Amino acid sequence: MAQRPGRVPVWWLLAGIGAVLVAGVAGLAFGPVRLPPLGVAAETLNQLPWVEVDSGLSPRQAAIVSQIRLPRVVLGLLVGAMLALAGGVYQGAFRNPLAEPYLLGVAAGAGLGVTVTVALRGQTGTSDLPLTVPLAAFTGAVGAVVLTYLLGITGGRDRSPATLILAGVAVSAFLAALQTYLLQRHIEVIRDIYSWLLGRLGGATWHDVRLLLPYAVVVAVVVLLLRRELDVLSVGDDEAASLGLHPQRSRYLLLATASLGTAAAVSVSGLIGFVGIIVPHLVRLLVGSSYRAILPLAMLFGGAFLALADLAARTVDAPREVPIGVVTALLGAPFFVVVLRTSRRVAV
Amino acid sequence: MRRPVPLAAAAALLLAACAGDEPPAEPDATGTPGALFPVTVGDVTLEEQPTRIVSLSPAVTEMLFAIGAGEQVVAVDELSNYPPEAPVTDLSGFTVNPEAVATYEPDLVVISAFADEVVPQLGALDIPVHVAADNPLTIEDVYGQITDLGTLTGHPDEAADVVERMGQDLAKLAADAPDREEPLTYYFEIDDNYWSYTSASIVGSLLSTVGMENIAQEESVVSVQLTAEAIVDANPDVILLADTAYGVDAATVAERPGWSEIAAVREGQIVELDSDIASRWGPRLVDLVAAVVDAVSQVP
Amino acid sequence: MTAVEVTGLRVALDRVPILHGIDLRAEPGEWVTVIGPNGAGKSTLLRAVGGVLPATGTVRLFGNDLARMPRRQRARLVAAVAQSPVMPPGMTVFDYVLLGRTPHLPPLGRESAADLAVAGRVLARLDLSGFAGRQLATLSGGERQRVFLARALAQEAPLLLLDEPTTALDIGHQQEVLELVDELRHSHGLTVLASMHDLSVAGEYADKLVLLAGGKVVAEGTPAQVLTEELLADHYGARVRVIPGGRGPLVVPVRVKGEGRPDGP
Repeated sequence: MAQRPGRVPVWWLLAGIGAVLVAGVAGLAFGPVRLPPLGVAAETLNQLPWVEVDSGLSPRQAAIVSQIRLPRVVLGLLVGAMLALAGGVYQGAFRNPLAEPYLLGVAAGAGLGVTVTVALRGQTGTSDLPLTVPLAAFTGAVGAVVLTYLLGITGGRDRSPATLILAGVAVSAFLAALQTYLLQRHIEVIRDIYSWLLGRLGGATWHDVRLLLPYAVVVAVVVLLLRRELDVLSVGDDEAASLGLHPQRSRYLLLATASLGTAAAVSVSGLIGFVGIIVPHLVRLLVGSSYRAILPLAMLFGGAFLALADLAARTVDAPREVPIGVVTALLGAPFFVVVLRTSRRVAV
Repeated sequence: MRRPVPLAAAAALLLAACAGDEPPAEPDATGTPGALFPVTVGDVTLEEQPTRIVSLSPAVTEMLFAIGAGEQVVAVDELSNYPPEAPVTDLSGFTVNPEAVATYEPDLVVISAFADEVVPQLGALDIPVHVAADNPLTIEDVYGQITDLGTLTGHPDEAADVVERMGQDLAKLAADAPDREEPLTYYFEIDDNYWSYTSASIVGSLLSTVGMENIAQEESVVSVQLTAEAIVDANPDVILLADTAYGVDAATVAERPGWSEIAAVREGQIVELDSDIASRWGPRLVDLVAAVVDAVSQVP
Repeated sequence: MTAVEVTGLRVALDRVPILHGIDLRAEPGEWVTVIGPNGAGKSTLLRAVGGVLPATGTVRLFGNDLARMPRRQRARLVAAVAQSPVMPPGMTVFDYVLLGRTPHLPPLGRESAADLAVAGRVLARLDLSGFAGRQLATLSGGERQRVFLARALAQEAPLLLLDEPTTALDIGHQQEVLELVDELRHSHGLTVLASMHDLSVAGEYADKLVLLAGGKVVAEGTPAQVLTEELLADHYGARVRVIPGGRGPLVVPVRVKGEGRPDGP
């Protein structure tokens, strides 16, 4: 445990980076299709613009590595990092270890957006709609959070975090109900939407990575710069104000940024659950309650966790694909129990 | 699903000296529809020929019209778009509203799903419900469904004809299929999350009769979600798209990263199937197989 | 320049008026304690002076209008220890005290070596160096109170607001904490504005007492002037005896024999 805050315990940082590397390498090396490891390594190097190496793989195998596995692994790392980071921010902003990034309506909004789009697409029989699924998910997610915010601040003077959570619950319930209604009316597309709701990295492309990357970078930078404020917020709004902070402003800014990152992640990967609540928790058990340490580590371990879960999702039942939401829950829960029991530090 | 006719039960229900019902697929000697009734198929007993039939399943609708019972159909669900003359309504086959169904005063309702809920609900209104389940495993199951409908609607002969014709057409397609050293491998896509029908599905077994091999080989599972990697590695010769109604076509498939390496994509062997034909297990299964055979006939 | 100058302060919470026009002054280096019965508005007064409650009227801190002050500046002028401070779970003593440096940090900055040094010094001054790595929840009441005080002191603000600083403490720890505050007051030139309900202790450690009742100042002056049997009977509804003590008057509650309930269960 660091004596000095702001310093991420060095060896945990190394462990986090190590985890990312292991997850990345494993994700590339293994898969439903057996490929020679050296060939995979060479083909990966080939992706660097200035490197030209003959990997010895057939064009098809090379395509599997560079067009299917590599973007999938990268996307898994990015999405996992975003969800875990957002989860940590939500937990700090609400001072509640049960908070998770779908709390303010992101999931319900994105789900509704996707349902509308897929249903419309089925009706018109064309994919020429200006609204693609990622865009619809993103718009829905952001719209839901804005709605939650507006609802939350109409509580008059009582702008406590609890009001915001209640608003989030209300908005989520409302949007989920709309989604269910639409789904019933367009029952033929239920399989499509169900797949999306369970979360999937199965269709990951470099295009998806390019969509997510700018948001991920901006969100990560802003949150990491502001992470000290989460620690200040932990003493309550009144005391934080007496320490010179604007607690409401701080909270809203952090939540807005985290929500943006979540919306972007969700728009390319669907609703992957569990990562956003469990990873920050695990990290808290390992390094203590300072968000200055938790957030960077949550990003690293969140990315590694999801990439490894994805590896399991596509290899365990090969050639079939197991929904990744199932894997994250099956992996995450027992792992969490083990850490909980072996950790002496049960402070939360 | 094939429902064997309980002859003993049928005999017990005879009220008058009408000709009893017959085992399916045998031609009727007497000829008049009225003489065929009452009939019992499964749990449904009809005293007389139904004239107000409601179909809540597109496949069933196709079957009914194919066997000549079209005139007796008064309402079909919103997704039953074939044949065009079918009386489409707002009824849903997925969320069955018994009151709405009852407004058509049906004397027979045929459904394909959610039997556990619908049968008792409509039964409470004294409406007989026949279930032609939407997951027949083999073509024989489909024949059985057609035959049962023939019996129930008073068109056993026509039904038998349809079944026979289907069998003959399929046999001809199988016989005419060019001999290949290696069977053509194919990937049958249901949606763009890479769900696929397997070799164990009806489609799969039919296509194997015309010399094609599914890349998703399964014993009993009918559909699976594949990974893109596995599909690319399997390198199918042909890609069959059943999700064209959702905007997936040859161009979008070719654009999928890594897929350009697949033989089917390179050679342009991506077949865009009519989504309806490729998802309804009824008389037009023959059309499905024919369409596929036609599309791949050019493949060396 | 006065340290604290409050004029016509009115505060309403949930539209219920709590303070009805308070005037109060504290000179730099002075220790002013606000006393009064429950519900008089002592905490509210302190919070309003700390700037965390909306109020009408004027509050000037070291000549600056509180209402117009940016938050960070205010946090550098006044440090408050709340009545029941929040103890963030899992936080160490050192990290907690370091939070007090917040108003001195650049907006996106982190603590510098100088900030760490201030925190270390404050901990040493309050005899808490050995506790730096401990979790807040593992400390005793007295130790915790010192930690809360340490955070306020780390702010290096010339005005210290203490809301019931000795409530949960035993008599020994009460003295300890208050002696400490007095020492620091003299060594750092701090102005202290406190609220207390223990009247004798209040009298021992204040230069000036302000008696608040029903949201108004009903008496103000030296402890000897304010702690009179009459005033206390009037506003506390209590029967007391005031006897002279070493530094200030001591207030002793008395019970007249024969009055009240009959003997027996």
